[in-house]
Amino acid sequence: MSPTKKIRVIAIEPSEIVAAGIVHILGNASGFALPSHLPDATLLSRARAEVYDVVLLDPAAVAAHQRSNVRRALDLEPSMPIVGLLTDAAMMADTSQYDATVTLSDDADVLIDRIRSAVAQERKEPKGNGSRLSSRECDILKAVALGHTNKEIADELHLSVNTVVTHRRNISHKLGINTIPGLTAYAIINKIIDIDSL
Amino acid sequence: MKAERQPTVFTAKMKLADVITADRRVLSVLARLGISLGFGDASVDDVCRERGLSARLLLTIINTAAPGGYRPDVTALTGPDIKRVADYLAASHRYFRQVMLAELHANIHRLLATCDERSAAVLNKFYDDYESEVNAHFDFEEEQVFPYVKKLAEGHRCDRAYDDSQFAENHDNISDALADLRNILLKYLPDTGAELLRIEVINRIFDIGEELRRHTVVENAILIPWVKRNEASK
Repeated sequence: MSPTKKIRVIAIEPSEIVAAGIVHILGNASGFALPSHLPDATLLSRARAEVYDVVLLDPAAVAAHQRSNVRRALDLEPSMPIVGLLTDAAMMADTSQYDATVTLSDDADVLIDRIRSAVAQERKEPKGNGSRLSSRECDILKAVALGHTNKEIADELHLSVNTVVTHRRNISHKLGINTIPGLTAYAIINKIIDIDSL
Repeated sequence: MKAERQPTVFTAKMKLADVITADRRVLSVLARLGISLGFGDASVDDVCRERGLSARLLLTIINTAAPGGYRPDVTALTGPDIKRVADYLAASHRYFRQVMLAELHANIHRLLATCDERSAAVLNKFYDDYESEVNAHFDFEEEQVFPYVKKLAEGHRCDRAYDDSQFAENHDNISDALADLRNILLKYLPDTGAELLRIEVINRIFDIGEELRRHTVVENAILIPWVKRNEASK
């Protein structure tokens, strides 16, 4: 990241008081753009790399049954860093899915430093190298493995054919698998689809 | 296959043994052209003269096949040269079928017998389909492409019964499927307790991939351009 480019944060935090504090702290920190805020994860359409550099997420903003994989719940790219804002002691047990974590008892400087380091860490890693697929990509992989055409997948998932093609290209790039039989084999081995459903 | 890149272009004055030391895959080229080993320190030129093979042809094949993007001059190749190229490619098919794929077939099925049922089922099928596709492509070339090329090389005019795009598509499918199989075994199949066999299989897939690449580039950069040029000149 160039030193002149400001870090763009999207904070997903249900508490208005906590959110106001985050906006205040980061809005006044050097090197940060004024952060965006959403009270609920379902309001996040796509936290795209073009728009944000890092997601600051309070898992309380994610439905309880989806908290074990927040990246999938938010349909985030593997390259998007996530900083966990752990407001509830119950959330602190599961920190492995975050690039960094902070709690409400941390100082403002700690919040700033952790976000900076999560963003810097992410930059060092080549993009699209992880094999973790987003939930949307998993849906598309399933459909491909079941033999559906791009047009059928687009209709089923309410997407344009172009978007399906882009997702398929990203899936192949991430996995290093290009043929339909290869993707099907991957999906079965990883239990994304059942062999009997073919 | 970056590891095997070498910048040198092999020349007729070089010792054949040095050529092989620089690019060990030349060994299988010699076998397919009927050149037996034990040639001492003789140059490429000398060995070829002794065995009645055109040194220009041998160099065209090995330089084109080596990584590095060498562009052969197909205008220098005669009809008899191109017949030799077709025979060379047919011999390379035999080697793939009888040695490389036969070995991979046995090892891959042994490996898959050690893994869970669902993975075994899907990968056995994946491999068998791959092998059928390769065999069908080889059959197509042996039955349609090579005989046509040989007739053309003998100066006969005849109608071509195949389409170039079919050719390129087959080649892409075959190399993509092999790379997929390699990545699945390398990255995604859970440990099955047969690590050494798995490494052996992956190594073989790398080898076959490189041999297939070399085989394909000889077809794409020598055979097909020569055919097009000579079809046009008639």
